[in-house]
Amino acid sequence: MISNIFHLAVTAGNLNTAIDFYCNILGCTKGNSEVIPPNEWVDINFWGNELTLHASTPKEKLHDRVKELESHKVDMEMVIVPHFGIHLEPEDFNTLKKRLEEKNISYVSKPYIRFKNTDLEQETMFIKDPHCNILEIKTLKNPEHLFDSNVT
Amino acid sequence: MIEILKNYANDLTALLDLNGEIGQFEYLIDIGQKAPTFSEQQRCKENKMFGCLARVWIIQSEGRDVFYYQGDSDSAIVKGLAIIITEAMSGHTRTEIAAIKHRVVNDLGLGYGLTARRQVGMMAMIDYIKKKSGAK
Repeated sequence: MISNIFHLAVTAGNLNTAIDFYCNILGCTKGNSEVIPPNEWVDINFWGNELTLHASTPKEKLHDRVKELESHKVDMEMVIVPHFGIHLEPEDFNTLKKRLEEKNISYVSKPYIRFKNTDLEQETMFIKDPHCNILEIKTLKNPEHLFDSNVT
Repeated sequence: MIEILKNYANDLTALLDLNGEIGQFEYLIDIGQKAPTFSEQQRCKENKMFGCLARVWIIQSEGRDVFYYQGDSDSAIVKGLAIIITEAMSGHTRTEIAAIKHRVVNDLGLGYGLTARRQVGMMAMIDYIKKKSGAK
């Protein structure tokens, strides 16, 4: 039985470029798709979640999306909102980090530790896809505390 | 005129927050790349302005009671700034141009995050346009 799978649909610019990024760089896999130009979309198996990428006019530079994005402080660091992403096991996080560096993918925010010495301590990094969707990849030291309230 | 400058100022401020000065530079370079490059004849002494470290040329043309401007520079970032200023100053009468003070650059936050030299350069472009139109 399939349950609790998160679904998100986003615009993605050129679909071939986007598929290359999500599959060949992040290591996701391609799922269902539909090609009815210009209404093309493709499902990406985003670590077990359904990410649907819709073809759109490419926005390759952050300033092409400046009016859609805001910066907010989290644990005193600026993050770009909206963003989406995934929690990974430390080994998977480190493998992905290495792959990003090998492929010369530039970070929006380089990997850093946030909420240090708390139950929510995590290493996180922000990247952007070719359409400037912002992705956060992170790994929690104590994932069992993810949804605790008033964590210290 | 003010609205155009305000929009650019808002974008530049947001980009500084989102992506630091790299975000601003990419934005300005992109604006410059989308604009035409002047010919060698257009890059003449008569169109060259002083007051910027980079070389900047501004061409003025006249419509019915209004003036239009085009800008170019040999610096990619300064060209972006020249495009912003010339776009904002275009389509206005001499009286309207005279009413614009060069401090608008700082009043609107247009220079937020940019170096003092680049801010002064933008102010010099406004003054140059005012002189060229006879508004100063």
